[in-house]
Amino acid sequence: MKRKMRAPKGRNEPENRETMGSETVVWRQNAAPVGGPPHAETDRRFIRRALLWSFAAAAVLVLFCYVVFLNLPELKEVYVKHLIERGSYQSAQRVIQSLEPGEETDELQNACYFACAGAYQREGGYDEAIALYEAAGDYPGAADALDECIYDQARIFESDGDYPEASEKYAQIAGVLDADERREACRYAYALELYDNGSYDEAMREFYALGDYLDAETYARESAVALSGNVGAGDLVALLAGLTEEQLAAREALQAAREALPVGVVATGYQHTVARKRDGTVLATGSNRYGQCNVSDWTNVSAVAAGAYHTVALLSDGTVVACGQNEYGQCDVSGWTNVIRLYAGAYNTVALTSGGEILSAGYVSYETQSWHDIADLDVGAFALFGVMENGRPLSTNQELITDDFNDLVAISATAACSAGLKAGGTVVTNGLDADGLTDIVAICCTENGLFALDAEGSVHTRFYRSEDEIDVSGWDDIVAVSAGATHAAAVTGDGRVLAAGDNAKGQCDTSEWRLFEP
Amino acid sequence: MKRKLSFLAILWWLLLSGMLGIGMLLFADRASVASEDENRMLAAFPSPTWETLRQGGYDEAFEDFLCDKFLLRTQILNAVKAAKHVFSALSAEELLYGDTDEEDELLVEIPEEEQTVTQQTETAASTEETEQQPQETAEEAQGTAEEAVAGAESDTASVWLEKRDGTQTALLTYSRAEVQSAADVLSAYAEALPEGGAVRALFAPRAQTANQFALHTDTVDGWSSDVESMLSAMVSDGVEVYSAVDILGPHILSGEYVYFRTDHHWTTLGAYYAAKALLEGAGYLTVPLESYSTALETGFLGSIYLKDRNAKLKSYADTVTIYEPLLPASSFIVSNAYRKAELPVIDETQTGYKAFLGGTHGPYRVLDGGYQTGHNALLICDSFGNAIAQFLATRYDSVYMVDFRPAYYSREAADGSVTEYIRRCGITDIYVVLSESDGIGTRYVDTLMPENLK
Repeated sequence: MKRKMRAPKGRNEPENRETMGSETVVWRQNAAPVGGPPHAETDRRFIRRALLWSFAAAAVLVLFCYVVFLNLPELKEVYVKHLIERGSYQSAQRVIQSLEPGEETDELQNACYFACAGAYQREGGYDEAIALYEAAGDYPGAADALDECIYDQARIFESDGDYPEASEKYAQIAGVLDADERREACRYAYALELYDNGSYDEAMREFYALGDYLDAETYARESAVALSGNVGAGDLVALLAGLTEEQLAAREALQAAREALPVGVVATGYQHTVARKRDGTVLATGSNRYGQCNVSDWTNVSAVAAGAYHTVALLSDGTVVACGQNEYGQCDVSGWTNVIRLYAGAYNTVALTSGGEILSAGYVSYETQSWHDIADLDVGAFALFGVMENGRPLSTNQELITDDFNDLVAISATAACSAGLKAGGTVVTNGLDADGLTDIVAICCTENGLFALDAEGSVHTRFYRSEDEIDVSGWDDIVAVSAGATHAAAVTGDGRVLAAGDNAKGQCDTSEWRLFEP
Repeated sequence: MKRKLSFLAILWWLLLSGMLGIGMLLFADRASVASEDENRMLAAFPSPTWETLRQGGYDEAFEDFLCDKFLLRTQILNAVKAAKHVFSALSAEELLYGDTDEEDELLVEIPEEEQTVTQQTETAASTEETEQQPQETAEEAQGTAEEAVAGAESDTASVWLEKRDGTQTALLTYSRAEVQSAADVLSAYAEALPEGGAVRALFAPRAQTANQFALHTDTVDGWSSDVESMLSAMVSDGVEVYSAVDILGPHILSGEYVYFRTDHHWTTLGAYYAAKALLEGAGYLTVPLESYSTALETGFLGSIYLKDRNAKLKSYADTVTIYEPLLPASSFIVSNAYRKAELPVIDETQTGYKAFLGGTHGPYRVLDGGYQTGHNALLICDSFGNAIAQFLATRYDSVYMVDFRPAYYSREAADGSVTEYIRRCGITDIYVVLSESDGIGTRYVDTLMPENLK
């Protein structure tokens, strides 16, 4: 089929001629241009150049994209810094979230938190600023800025007359500037406020807690008198503690009985058991996955305690040694001195020093700055519990302390369960039936129940579920007991160590142990 | 000149298309990814086999891959959806409760006779207030027993919305056969447990259902359900059925923030109340909610919003409360009963509900809350399980989780049946926590759970 090129309409050239621009192409009958196309060479050259330059440009583009792709994180980092400088924190946050996790990203994130916190602080948004400074972690200046922010907030609370809040805030930054002095002043002002309002009970306790601060002691006595309505009403301490003289006598008797019991002689971890021999060495059995049973070379040990996967021991010189899991620093106790009592929680180690100071190492940081007059401590799953000399309970998590936790001599708690030993030898718990538990001298709360040692040397148990029961009915002449969720161990009066419960890792293989000769 | 420009344009079009295609093939995520926004799996890069090439399946799979992974896909889809709803006539409430047609099918007014009986009973009760307490208690007990018998004998069971005008509306209705099927499955799971173990089941309404109550407490008195009583009567001894309606109802009535508004999940508060009820039913105490430190994320627009992206819902934006773990918690993918790659417990890189455990991961995963109790549990769940797991974990050494939905689970990846996992992981308790989407009468319960048990 023949193809003809038609000339544009309106032009009078013959059908075999085509005009393009100023040139005319003469076509043969078979539609090929006569004498060869004059533009063919130009077109070919154009195509060659176009292809060449296009591919070159594409290659450059690819290279550019590749370089950008390789440097995208760096570019994003620069962009984030620019956004932070500009104060566009939300945009910066979005870009940060698109970055791969890593040290640089963390650094940027912390910088963003820090800058944003500063902005909040300048605008008076202290709560937000504090949260962000805390989130900024170890970013340079964050810790100081956090203290400064808390201090500023505390000053505002103080000037507003909200003394309890101010006092709490000052407590958080103990040692910073004049926070300690201001805290005392706030507590005193709050106590005065209570006194003026006629809340003598609370005022008395606040003044008493302030000790020899200004005339707090005088006010404490006046509060006690006002509360009792009788100037000569009994012993002031008894009044302060809300105890009667009979209760004080019972307390002294129970404390004497408890002091007669060996302390820190046996301890149970999650799947291991340790016990201290009279010669100062330590025995261990059970799971040694984290090295928690590597205690064979310990000597001069005066008390042992066990966490979930670690073991700690108090030496006779007041120092502490530890072995086992140290993922959260629970074994970083080498610098501790003057320790008189040692305790261990699942991932924490806590000690009480001769100066009444609480030392702590491990996963959880406890806020115990305001604790004083501590008679006993216990490390729960994530909270620290204590009992004051006057029988009042202490806890970093008040949720597990119920109203009947008063007049205590000891306390024991885990994640959701808590129990207190009252001065009268009875037990209070936050969920278990403690009826029938009388003449008790020691308690041990576990995730699944409660073990209570009575003055006769018998161990009584209470469990939330019958499936979790550990049978200790055959135990007698017991002088110390320790229990975990799945097994329990006890020391008898003749130095044997009894154990019951789960023995999957050999944690109950204590039948050969003899801690002392009677 | 025109020809040259046309040539250049075509040439560059081809070059850019080629570069884009090659770039996508090189850099696009080739793995199949679960899109929680779209509630489906996005296509993976297909593996060529002789069979798929010959039958044309490869081309189709490749097309799917291109459709699901093209550049700026999410942004383009979002823009399209947003544009679609610029002139939407749907009200915010209609959007909150989901597809109105679908809801119409679920709304079943009770017969007038029943309404009359209900009203008469209420009237009778109000006129007998002077009667002595023991008699009232006895009557209540009798009434409850009668209701239970009636529930057990009825052909259907429903979750009812109790209105202040004395009428009821069925929010969800299940046939006896559907409930029986669920009961059989739960009983079969109980049989697989060691002695003393129990299956605790809780089927939770979605927010679209719950908010018909939660957002209308001025006209709605509460909600009730006879589903659990029917189910309880059918299951074996090793199964305990819990009613989300009973557990969450009082909290909703008191105005607590138990369900999200723009997302179909419960809030962490709702999940906590559910966990508390389950654990207390098992005889355990729970860690008080006040013990946790929290982090808040405001402005969360969840799946209900994402479904249509209607700007009207932005004023209902939710707040996500994250309860930080109290002890060192960790989570891992589990396959063949072994722990594999580590997963986040709280994923701070994710927003909204996906922050909990970083979303759903399969085939199994394990959550170690850091507690030592001597027990392990298996949580069979859909995404509702992601918020409740951390609270259950306070009572277990390890909580194993499985979501049988095909997007997350395959038997090959799990490399073992539930029965084998129970034996190898030392599982003593099973919790079944499913939303209505995967609960009674769904493929999840009727097919996926039975076929993966053994």
